[in-house]
Amino acid sequence: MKLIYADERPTSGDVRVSGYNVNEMRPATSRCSAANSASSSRLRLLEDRTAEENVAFALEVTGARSSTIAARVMRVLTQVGLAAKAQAYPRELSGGEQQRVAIARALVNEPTVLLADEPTGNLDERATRGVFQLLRDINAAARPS
Amino acid sequence: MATHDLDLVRQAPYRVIELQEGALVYDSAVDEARDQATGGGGGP
Repeated sequence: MKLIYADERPTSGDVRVSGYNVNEMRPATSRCSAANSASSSRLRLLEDRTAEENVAFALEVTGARSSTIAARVMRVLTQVGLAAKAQAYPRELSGGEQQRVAIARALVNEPTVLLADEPTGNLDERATRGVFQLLRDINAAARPS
Repeated sequence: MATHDLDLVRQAPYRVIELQEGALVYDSAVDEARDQATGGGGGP
């Protein structure tokens, strides 16, 4: 995974993602960087920020125009089924819901590739099914018609 | 998606690859290509 999102370099050979040579990219410019660790089993949500603020943070650090952030955040929270919990803090969310926030955070910068490293690793069976179905829905929605 | 959850892998209608110690040991695309070449579904 780290090779794909340019956090590590291969000792030999090239890594290509969607036609781009990852070796020639900085991690911050990787087409996969928005998903970097965001939907791994190590969620790394900011505990002192709401779901909405966690997702917005991903836009703020990439220099998104502030006037667009609120609408983009709400769009992805709606996509992952958490619009009603936008003001909830991570501690107020279930494991599956926290994972959905992490996925929303990964999606909000519209990455070419969404990497999910053990996205269901610490979830119960029901939450696992929900997160897996969400990833399938995201994949289906992103495919060109 | 990377996972150790084999139940999820079995449900995934996508290309599946298996890595051991960083080396590719299985690729479902190879099986599919072989099935298409032989005109079968893998069974006798």
